[in-house]
Amino acid sequence: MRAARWQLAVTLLVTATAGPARAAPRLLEEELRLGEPALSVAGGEEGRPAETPAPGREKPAPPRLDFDLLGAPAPAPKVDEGALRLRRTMLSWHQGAGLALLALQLATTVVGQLNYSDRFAGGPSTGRYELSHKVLAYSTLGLFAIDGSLALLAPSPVRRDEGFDRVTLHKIAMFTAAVGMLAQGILGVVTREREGYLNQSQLATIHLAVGYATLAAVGVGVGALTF
Amino acid sequence: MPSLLASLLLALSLAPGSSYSVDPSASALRFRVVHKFHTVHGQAGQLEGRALAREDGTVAVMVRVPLATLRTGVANRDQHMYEVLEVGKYPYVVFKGVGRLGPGGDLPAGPLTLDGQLDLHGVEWPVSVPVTVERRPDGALRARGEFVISLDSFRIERPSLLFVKIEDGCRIDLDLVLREERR
Repeated sequence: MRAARWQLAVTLLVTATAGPARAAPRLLEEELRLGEPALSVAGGEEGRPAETPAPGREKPAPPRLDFDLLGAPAPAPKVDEGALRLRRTMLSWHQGAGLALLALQLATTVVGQLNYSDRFAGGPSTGRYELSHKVLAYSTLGLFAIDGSLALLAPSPVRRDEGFDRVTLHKIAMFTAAVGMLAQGILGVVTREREGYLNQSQLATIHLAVGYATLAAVGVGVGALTF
Repeated sequence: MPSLLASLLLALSLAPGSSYSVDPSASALRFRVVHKFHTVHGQAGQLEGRALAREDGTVAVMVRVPLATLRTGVANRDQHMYEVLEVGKYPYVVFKGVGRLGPGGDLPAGPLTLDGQLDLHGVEWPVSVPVTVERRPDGALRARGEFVISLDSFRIERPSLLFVKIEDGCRIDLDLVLREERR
């Protein structure tokens, strides 16, 4: 019994010490098969033999890049990064508000068309679209003012003139839209005050046409920066 | 005819110790990023660079571009670009690379691969740039190549339009004219 225990202990000891020795050549074979340099370290650690690269499979050393062919660069122009960040934040809000504005403008125009048809296309006028059109119109006007302010007040630390570009087209379209919205506000009030007069229908038609033109201008303004 | 043949043969090698500098007026560095709605093309307004053929049979190349000179044709977009590139903090993009020439400084028949690194936005990232080099009739070298970098790898926040970010890959095209410097 005691002899059997000793035999087991010796067997375990031999297996434990022989394991890594058998594993190392297998690892070496796998590395060679993968095409990697087997061992590329020339100097060994203390207590270990120096490892040499596999013959003919030496990986070329990475190029030394500790050269400077150009010398010190000229001092770069100072850029106000805080202003750039603020500009980006404001224009991100401007972008989001612009998309909401397009949706509001579209809704105002659709409801405005429904209101016009209800009032002037013949048949009894119900007036059921008047309040919603009014709320949408003032919301559009308010959002337009906020959105425009965000763009106009955003700092521009790197001023440059690129000639006629997409932003120029955007600005022209949004200026046209601003004129249209101002005209819409005035025309809307004037049209409402002409209740019972013969020219109310004509004013309403002009109001409708300017509404479509304003919607088109907003569409061009958004599209200029999107596509 | 023999002189033309001789010049062509000479044209295929770089003498050790010879150096070339980039002619900025004849050279271009362009880049391209892709958004779902459109592709944006841009280019550098200024660039400087030099190449040096070394005694060990390699050619060392260095190119530097001030980021504030990058243009995409839309001033507003450029300002966004400067902001994400943090040009105030990291004003330059610098490429350093080394290519291995053939015996006697011969340029390879195919592309010459420049192994090196790109320093952009405070991050140094290894890149391999294959360039095709040819000798122009006026004796200058023309090197053309392209490679793609990952904006995420350089920790550059990708700009977005309509809440959709541009793609991660930014393709860079080089078309450099290098003139030999007098020793």
